[in-house]
Amino acid sequence: MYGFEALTFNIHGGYLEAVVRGHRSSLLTASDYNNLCQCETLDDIKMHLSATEYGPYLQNEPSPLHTTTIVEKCTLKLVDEYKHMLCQATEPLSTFLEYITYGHMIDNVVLIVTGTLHERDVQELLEKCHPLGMFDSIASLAVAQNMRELYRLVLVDTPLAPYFSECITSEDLDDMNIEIMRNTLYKAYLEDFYKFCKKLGGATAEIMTDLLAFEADKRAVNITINSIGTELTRDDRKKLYSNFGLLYPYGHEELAVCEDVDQVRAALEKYPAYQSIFAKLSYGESQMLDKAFYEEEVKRLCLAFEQQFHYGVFFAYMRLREQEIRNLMWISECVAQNQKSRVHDSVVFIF
Amino acid sequence: MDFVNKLPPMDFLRSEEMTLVQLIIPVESAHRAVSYLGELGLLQFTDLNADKSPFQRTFVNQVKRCGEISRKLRFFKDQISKAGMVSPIHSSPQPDVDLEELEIQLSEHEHELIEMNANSEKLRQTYNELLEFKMVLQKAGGFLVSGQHHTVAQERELDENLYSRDNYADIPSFLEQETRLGPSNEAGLRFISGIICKSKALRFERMIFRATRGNMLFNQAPTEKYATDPMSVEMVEKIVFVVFFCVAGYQEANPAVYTVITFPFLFAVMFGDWGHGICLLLGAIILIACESRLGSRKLGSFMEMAFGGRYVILLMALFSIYCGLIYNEFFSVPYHIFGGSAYKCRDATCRDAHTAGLIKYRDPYPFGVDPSWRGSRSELPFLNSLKMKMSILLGVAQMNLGIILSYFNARFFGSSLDIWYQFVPQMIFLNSLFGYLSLLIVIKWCTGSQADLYHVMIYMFLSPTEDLGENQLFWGQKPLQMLLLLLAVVAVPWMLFPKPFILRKLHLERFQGRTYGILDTSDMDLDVEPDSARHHVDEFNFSEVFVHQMIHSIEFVLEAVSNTASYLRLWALSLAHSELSTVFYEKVLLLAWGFDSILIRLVGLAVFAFATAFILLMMETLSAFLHALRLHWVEFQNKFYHGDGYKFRPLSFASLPDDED
Repeated sequence: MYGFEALTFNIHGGYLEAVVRGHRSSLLTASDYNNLCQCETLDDIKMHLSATEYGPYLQNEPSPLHTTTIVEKCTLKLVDEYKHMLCQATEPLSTFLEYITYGHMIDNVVLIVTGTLHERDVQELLEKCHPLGMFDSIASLAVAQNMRELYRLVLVDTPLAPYFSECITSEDLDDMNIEIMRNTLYKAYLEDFYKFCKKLGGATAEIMTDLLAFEADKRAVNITINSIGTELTRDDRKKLYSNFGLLYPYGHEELAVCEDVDQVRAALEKYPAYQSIFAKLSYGESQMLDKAFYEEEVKRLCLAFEQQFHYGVFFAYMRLREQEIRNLMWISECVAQNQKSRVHDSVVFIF
Repeated sequence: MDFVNKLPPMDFLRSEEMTLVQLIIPVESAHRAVSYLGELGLLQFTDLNADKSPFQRTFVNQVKRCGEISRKLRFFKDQISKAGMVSPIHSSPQPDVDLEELEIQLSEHEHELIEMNANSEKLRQTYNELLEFKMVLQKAGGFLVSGQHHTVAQERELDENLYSRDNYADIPSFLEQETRLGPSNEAGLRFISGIICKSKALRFERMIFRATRGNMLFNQAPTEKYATDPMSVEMVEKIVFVVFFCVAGYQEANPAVYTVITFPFLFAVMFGDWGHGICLLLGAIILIACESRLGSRKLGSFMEMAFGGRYVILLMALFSIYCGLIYNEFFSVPYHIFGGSAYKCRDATCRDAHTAGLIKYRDPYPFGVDPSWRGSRSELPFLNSLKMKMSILLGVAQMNLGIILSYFNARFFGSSLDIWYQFVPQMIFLNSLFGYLSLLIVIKWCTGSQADLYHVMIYMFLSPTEDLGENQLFWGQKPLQMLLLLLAVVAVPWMLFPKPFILRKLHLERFQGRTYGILDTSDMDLDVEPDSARHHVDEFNFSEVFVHQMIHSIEFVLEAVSNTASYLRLWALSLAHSELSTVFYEKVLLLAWGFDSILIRLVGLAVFAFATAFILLMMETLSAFLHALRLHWVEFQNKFYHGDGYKFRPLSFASLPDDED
């Protein structure tokens, strides 16, 4: 019964909800970001972060720091928290938590396949993979020549197997196909996740379907904008859009025929929820679109914490932490390359 | 007042006197001075730059360097513990550690250590490789020899040997070989040999199966010697306990001095049974006798609390025996310890004992409740009345003590405003109402009057001018009551109104001259006095002070009634205790003893013992403990205690290792 979660949620999920809310209160605030933006060197950033929850992870790094080290250690903290939550979770929360990482798995698969295509060393690629999306036998991806082999050799054992039915072809892998494969996989994943959340019912379904719908719409817009001017046909483009979300189905039809950013804007302004995003950009500009989308996403993720007794808080926390790591990476890069003026271009404040 | 002035100061009543000092140290000698102070361990530093970010502080670079040094030291400690050695502890601290030299030394050592580690890692890797080669040659050779009869091999290729180190990288190079050789024209069997982690063998087999579409033969053999795996990194989790406790404000009266005795006493009033008291005494004596043994051991959290409070439990037990003798209850059975009862039956058969009652023929029983009361018809009304009146007396006494302590605090801090406009009206209000009630109780006990004290108090408020009639306890009661009512009514605005106005007047007087000074120099620091002045430089917010005072006085007035009633829990819990022990005694032990069978008697005895031990000794102890504690913390301490202090934590190098744990 929706509305009565308070009676039974805490039996299995109470401890973890408390844990995740505790973690959420340790996210960096606007004042932290302001202080970080004033840093001159990476050592200053390290000193500042040592006063936050990242302290124990960064304190043992030797002095000439690199941005990759900072990002790696911060990601390591996220991974530790995730693993702790995963091992304490029972069904269906454990399945839910695993669903959160499939997106990273897809990214890692694509990374390795692309890297192999460009003749990079497997070890190097493995180090670049996101730790949340690792699975055993991931390294064997480097061997596959086409998608069928990819599936048969490696992916059939992973949770990504059911997402492959739509995109198995015998064509050889090249850059274009890999992108299409990535988006097809992601579409299948989002739809699967959406169905799963709907099956869970209650507050989780309500909140997660909202968040996933926004995600699907965001990806639809990104696919549209990125495929303007490429050889991707309209039908192919339409096949990459997910079958849910605010834009489904009429928005998708309009987006499929867009040829430049202004048409995209015109298509989206019909939806009041997304109007505010495009209002921030002037005509013809698309660089700040990413940041606008991230800001909107962060707003919605923070709202997920306003309600109790649902699983959306876990998803929201993971996404917020990833946004924080993106912020830290951007700040570190700006500081390392002495471009402090551009720091605020891409930092999205969470609180 | 002279008498009060001549009283010697109590050592434990107030905290130690502290001095606030400001040190101005030239920058060059700052480090030496602070480290010397750290070795002394007597000074606590307050952070004057709490609102500044870490970069704006003066010594940020030095802090960074210290952080680097401590990181290197941690690295060394890690390496030392990994190598299984124990670092020697220097008993005497170095007099003057030169940080610059130390820094250089440490970075040299670190560099060397890292190089050595890298070299040793390389050596180990090479060794592992060679070891694995050897094992593959041995085992695979074994297979091939046995399989030679079955294969029609025209070509034999000994491919690369693999070594599996981490989880993911074993397959690729191997499979590349396989697929590249695929389209070769030779018809024949090729074989590939290698070494792989045992846990991955199954997965590997499955993968090969898929890659070769099933045309493969897989043979595996375990190796005897284990190549060393790369060292695993351990993460040590530290669990930090945060213990919340209240610390007295600076130099305010410490209630613990009085609580040490009043708390066990109030506990005993609620526990009152000298049989149970003896059991508690035995427990306390055991804890104290074994304190050297138990003190070094690590006890569970419950035992630790009980052990830490062993002397309090001793006092509780002693007082319980005392109160038990007063209530005359030994496992709920009264005894004629102090002589015979003062009452006897009207005739020899005691037929009328429960109807007309007993008659008094002797002087009253010398100590405690007469044993004849137990089992009589009017036992409960008598005991209830006795215990309720006693609770009120104890309560009023403790609350008065609380208010008097607030007087001593006000006197110590020199706040005559608090004395005249808080202490005096509070005393008047409390005592004109509840002090008067206590007086009435004592008079009623002494004179044996039949007056109903409830009605006396109620009509004192509702109709003070009416004739008292049967509620008259002494001559002059009516005018006295009217006077006390008037005093109480006057006391309320007395504690409400004057203080805010006087505070405002004082504030205006104090800062009248100052306000001109601000115009001259903006940089000059006006606040050369200690912190208290700093707060008043901002505007004196009159409405805030007035509302605060109003809340304070209304709270006092309402709490006077509620706190007095709250002390009735002394009665309630002692009633519960005595009823419980009566039930267990009569309905379990006596019932079981009535049967002839020894089994039933034993069972009854056992049930009685368990019930006494768990319900009466443990649960009732905890319950009375809790209520006595609550009475102290709320009813007693809210008359005078603020508890807004913080613990003294000096910078002391000697205590740093303890802090880290």
